[in-house]
Amino acid sequence: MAAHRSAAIVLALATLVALQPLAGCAAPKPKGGPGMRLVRDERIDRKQLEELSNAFADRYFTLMLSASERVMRDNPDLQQCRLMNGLRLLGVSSMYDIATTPDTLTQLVDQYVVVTLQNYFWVDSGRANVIWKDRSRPIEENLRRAREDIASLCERVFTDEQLLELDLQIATWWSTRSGADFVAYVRFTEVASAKGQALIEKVRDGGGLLEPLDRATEQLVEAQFAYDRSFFWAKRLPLFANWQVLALWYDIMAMPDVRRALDGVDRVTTVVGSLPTLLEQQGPVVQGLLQEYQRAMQATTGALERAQPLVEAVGGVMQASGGTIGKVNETLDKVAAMQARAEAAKDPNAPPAKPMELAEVTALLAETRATLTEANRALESGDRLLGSTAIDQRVATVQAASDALIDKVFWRATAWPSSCTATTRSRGSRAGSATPSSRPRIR
Amino acid sequence: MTPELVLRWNDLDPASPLGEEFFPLYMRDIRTGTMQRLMEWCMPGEPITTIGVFVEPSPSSVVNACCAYRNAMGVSSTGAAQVRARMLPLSEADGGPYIAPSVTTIADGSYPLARSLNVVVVTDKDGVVLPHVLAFLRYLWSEDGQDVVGLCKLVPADPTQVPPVLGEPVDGTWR
Repeated sequence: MAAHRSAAIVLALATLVALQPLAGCAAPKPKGGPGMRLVRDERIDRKQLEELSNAFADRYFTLMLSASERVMRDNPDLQQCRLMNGLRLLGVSSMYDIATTPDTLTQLVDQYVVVTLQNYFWVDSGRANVIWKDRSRPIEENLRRAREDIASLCERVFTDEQLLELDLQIATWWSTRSGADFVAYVRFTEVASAKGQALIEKVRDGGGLLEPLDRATEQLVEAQFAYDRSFFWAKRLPLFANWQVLALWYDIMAMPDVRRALDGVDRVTTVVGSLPTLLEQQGPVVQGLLQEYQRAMQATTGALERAQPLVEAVGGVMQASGGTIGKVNETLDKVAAMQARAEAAKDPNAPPAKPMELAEVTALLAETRATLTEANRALESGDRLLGSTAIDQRVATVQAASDALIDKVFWRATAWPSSCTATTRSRGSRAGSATPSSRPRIR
Repeated sequence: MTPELVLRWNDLDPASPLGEEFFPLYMRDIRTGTMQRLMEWCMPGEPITTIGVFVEPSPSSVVNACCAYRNAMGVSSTGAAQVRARMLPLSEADGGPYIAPSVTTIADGSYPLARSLNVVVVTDKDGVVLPHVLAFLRYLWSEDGQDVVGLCKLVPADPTQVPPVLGEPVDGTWR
């Protein structure tokens, strides 16, 4: 065979439609008969699947962190850094949001949907390459690796035919909504047709993932899952504080008027000295921006505050979380140092800057830091671990203090023990109705 | 497939900017129609023995690999094509002409690596197609049905080649 053919085996096999009636042909038999287990890997149980889903969320975080650091390190292009930070903030927060939803199978499918759509949006369309140009390779490759990882995970649950069907559902949805910006927050319930929903229900009902349990056992299991999910989220929440701070700074820097005033200079460390003047010139806009971020930051810090009672009650999280929060504090220190430099580098001939904006930022950072420090202290207080009866009281406290973000994370967790008579289907539908109100407002 | 060992990009083209990088091959299971057609066309009777083969769960996943990894090759249907991955023109003979896949070149048969998508139906013992099946097939062959085929990124059938079982469209109805 000629060599030119082997070189040309790339992405091109066209299909024409033809019609062939076939007399006397038996209809194909469905693969799953009555009583047949449909989950491919019959050894996997729900707890293992839950752990795998959580592990994937962490893996996704690592991939995004690695890629974003490579894109942003020494990058003089402010817009590239801003968009990269926004992408990782949305993507990772979405992945952890999914990992804390109450239905294990929905978690898995939602992770599959989000990662696949992100690949469509950023990689396949060439959008990542257009934005990050010669720096796009890490993010393109790592988003793809995330897709490979979640596909491997799904292969343990779904058959080849079911995975193909799932991909087809996503591709069909994408073909009509390819302009959707917030792909990170699309969920399977939005993507799936009735056929797709039926596919998931078939796996859920016939797969042994939710083996018949007596009511009491089920309650215990669900309560345990709910607590586990709370702690899983609480441990990772501090990670987003520093990304939110970064997002605020990038958004200020990327404002058209600020950029004009900076005369095209992109490097953050170079321009930070001019900030007070710029903040004064753009007072109302900056105020709006700060307020917007303040709300997002307060949601995060508020969640941390409310996490304290739960976190206090369970051991095993101190060591892992302590390091993370310490890292966040380092970042906050750097931001504070930037502010100090900005103050020191103020143009002596410039009119006095309005102190309010900077003071507001400072207060915001101080508040975040105080909250994080307090959470850190709570995490370190291993000698104050409480018994199970006290946990219930603390859970009630948390429930009473719920707000939008808490509704998204902890309300579901704390509501579970008292509502576990709900059917599996209703739990799945609740999982699909993630509230968008607490999304970070970053694109 | 080739007498020479081809593992790296510069084995294919000494001037390739990818140089000595290996090219992983992404494809569907060889039992799929796409892979069967490929093997029938360019390597009849030969197994795929290359190293670095990754079997993907769907056509879109194959294309995604080619979009993300700059040294990747893949085999997929044109329906899954994406902007970031380049579709290569093919030639039946050494030296060309190389034909790029498009609706036109696929429909007129000049693009060599195309295959039919067969719709198979069950008839009764006398070979008669059941009425509701016939109604669906006629819809599939109608303008609306072929629009759907196009939306699925398949190349519509030749409207002059109506399967006899459908009858003939006369004044907007099937006879």
